[in-house]
Amino acid sequence: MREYILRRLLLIPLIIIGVSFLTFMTFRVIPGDTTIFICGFSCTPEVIHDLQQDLGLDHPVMQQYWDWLKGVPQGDLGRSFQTKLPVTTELQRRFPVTLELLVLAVLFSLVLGIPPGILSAVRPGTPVDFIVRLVSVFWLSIPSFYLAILIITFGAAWFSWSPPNFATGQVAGLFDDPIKNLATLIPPAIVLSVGIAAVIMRLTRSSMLEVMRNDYIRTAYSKGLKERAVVWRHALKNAMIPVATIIGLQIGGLIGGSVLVESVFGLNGMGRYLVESIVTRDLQVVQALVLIFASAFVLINLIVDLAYAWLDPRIHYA
Amino acid sequence: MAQEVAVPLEATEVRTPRKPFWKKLLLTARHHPLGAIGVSIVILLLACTLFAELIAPYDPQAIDAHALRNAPSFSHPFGTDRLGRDVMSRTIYGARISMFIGLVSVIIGTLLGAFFGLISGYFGKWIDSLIQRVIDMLLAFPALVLLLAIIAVLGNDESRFRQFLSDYTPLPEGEFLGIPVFIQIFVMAVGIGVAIAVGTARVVRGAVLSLKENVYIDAARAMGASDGRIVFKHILPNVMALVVVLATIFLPIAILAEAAISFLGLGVPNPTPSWGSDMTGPNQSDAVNGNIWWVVFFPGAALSLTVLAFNMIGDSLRDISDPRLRGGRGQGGGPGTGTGF
Repeated sequence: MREYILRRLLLIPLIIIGVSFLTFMTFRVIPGDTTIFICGFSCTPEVIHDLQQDLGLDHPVMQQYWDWLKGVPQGDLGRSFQTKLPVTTELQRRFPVTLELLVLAVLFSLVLGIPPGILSAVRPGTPVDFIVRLVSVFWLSIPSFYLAILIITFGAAWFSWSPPNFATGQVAGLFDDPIKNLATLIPPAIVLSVGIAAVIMRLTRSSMLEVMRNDYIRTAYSKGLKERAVVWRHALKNAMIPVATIIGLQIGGLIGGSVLVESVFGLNGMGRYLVESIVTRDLQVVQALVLIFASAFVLINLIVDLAYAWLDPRIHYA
Repeated sequence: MAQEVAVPLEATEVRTPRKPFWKKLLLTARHHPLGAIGVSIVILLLACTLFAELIAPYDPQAIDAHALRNAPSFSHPFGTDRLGRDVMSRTIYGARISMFIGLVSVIIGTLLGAFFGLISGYFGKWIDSLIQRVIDMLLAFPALVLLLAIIAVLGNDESRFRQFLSDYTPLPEGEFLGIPVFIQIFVMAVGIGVAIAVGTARVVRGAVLSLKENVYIDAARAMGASDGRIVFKHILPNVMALVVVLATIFLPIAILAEAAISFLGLGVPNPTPSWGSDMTGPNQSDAVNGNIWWVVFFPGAALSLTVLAFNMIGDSLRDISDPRLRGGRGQGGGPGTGTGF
């Protein structure tokens, strides 16, 4: 096991280097003349010259890549062309928002997904089961950004509620003003969690159904255990193994969803930063953000794999 | 053919009369009502795509200064937007963009994916390693982030790809097939297609790996068949069913992706009617600040309904293929969620 973890950890820098190479090539080589791509119609010979100096475009491509890559471990992800500030300065402000949003969304998806899933598997074919299945199909089908707009629109119309950050334009820090912070982030987190909650609900249901058919469950029932004990103590832990995997697989989707939900709720997170940078053609920022998102995704997948082994002792990574 | 030769001694054979096709269809529909509803919605959607001109009551881009931001009424069932454009007509025309991008990107994606999956699985060795490592890296990007990166690079007016398309292909700059700004929309479909290809290639490769161990492949090779013949005559037909299934799974995802990108303002540009771009910008602020809810409610409802229909069809297909798990097992995230839109 330890060996497996070590091997995976050693592989991670390799994957991230590959990802960074791909990112670099995508943003430097494919578009054509990078300078025109960056400054667009406002290109004058002087601007182009400055840009070439700044980016080291007069060097060979591989050396440019190496120069960029060298900076990354030192926290130098390049500068924004719009603000002239280092990308990392902006990230320090935005990273906590996105992280908190994602953590909250995972929590809500578990809370909204697992209990109804269990309920529907324990009582298959009943109205409860039918309602749970119907709800899950609807939740699965409603795009997060649509749900977000509906909540804000009808929240304002019917309850005269609007997200607290709409008035101030800022998200209060979690430790400065926890109540205001949570009031700002919980609604978008719920919106983000709905789609994944539906997946978890469906998977919990089918995985529980499968587990409940096992002989050891019948044994547990026949030795007179209460249903509560059978479900919670015997069935649930085994049924949760596939659910753990699916949560890991959904993280990539969550990151994508956060881009959309942050935009609707006006949260100054990393996803919104990505969109803004694409709109303003700030490719240095886009490049840095894409690298960060991909690296985070790779790390999360590793953690999920390890959690999987912890949940199911039968799994051995050799 | 062979069966007719083997028919036993004249006519005593008792055969239940074969049910006509439509009766079987009706029976399936009765057993899977949700799937039937899904199919009907998709048919409706196709009708909107093909006959938008006949169905839509108004021109989707016609500005009417006398009917600005009208609430839903008899003359405008879905209301009008800030320029007096009929929301119902825009929603109907939006189906065309959605279906077009969905279909084109799925075709590009599955073709590309099947091609790389086939050669990767069949030839193995360094070709396989190379293709799979590239796929590994592409899969390391969250789907929407990858898509946005592709769009950021390809979608720009000055991008080499864009230049290539307008210089070397007969694609026109302006309107084509009733779709304005055709090239821009086509570029987007290519971007979504690339993202789809990544997933397809992985799955197809897996299938090819097990297929090529079959005895009939050895037999074909022993008879002197070339690699090309084996791949196209013996392996490709066997992965076709899989590719079609993948295509149906990816279609709603592609439609959602288009809406999401347009929603972020990076896709279909105004004033072309598109569900995603009709929910953003001025319409969004009209809805949020001025309670003009109908301008975003109906395009979004159409989008949700489309995804819902495909999900219901998918669930029913899963039920039919695996009756033990009625209601579907949401494996692999189920359509429309793996991407988290």
